[in-house]
Amino acid sequence: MFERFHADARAVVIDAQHQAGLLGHERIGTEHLLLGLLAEPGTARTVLNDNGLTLDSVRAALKNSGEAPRGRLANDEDAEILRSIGIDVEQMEQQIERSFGPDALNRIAATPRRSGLRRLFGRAAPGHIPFSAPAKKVLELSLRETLRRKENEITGAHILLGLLRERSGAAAELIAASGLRPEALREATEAAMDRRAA
Amino acid sequence: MADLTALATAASGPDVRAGLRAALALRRLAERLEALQVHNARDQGWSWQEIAEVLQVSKQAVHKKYSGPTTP
Repeated sequence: MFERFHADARAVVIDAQHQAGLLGHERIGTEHLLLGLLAEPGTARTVLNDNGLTLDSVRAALKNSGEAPRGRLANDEDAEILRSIGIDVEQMEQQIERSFGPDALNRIAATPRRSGLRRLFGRAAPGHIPFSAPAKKVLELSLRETLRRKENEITGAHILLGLLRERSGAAAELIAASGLRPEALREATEAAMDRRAA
Repeated sequence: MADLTALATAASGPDVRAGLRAALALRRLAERLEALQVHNARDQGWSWQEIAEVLQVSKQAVHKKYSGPTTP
């Protein structure tokens, strides 16, 4: 499927993986695709920026997005809540490292089902992070959008259209939390795409 | 940052949102701790059955959760 991706769309996906890695997340989710769209120059980024979503603002919103970063037992917000009820997560992390070595915590995935990846495939390429189900859905939807528009290649803007249709991922939550309506963003994106095709 | 004395009652005080949020933090911690120790147990040669017994779940459940096929 990636053969139908225009270079800019491929750059978005690669960047999404990079962003997930930077945040220490275990899967590429829709929120990382959103970051990828914000990092790559193009129609998608322009539309998003025009509507107040920037790389920095979304990254800041995601910093405490729930998944504990790799190598941690809890993210900062959870750790603080747990400390208030007498659980010292940092101390646990230190003791775990003493008991089981520095890599023990790095192995756990946010979704346990994926933690078997290294065991099963041993050679799981470092830096290769799998997609979440909603993120995969977004990529499928981006192809459908391309077909719907009778266009030939999937561009970053098509990925954005796909992203806007996907309601269960973190990107959808983020967009809603910013007070933006997916339909309005869709209209703006399609209008920009029509202009560039003209 | 919220003041710690206020947070101290979060988990068990009358504010249900804070209480739910504390329950979430505990649940996530429990998940990660379980994943960590399941891996450690396997490293030490424990069988899925032995792990399941201590976790008080079925062998199938723990096996499926931690070593089922993954979709790349």
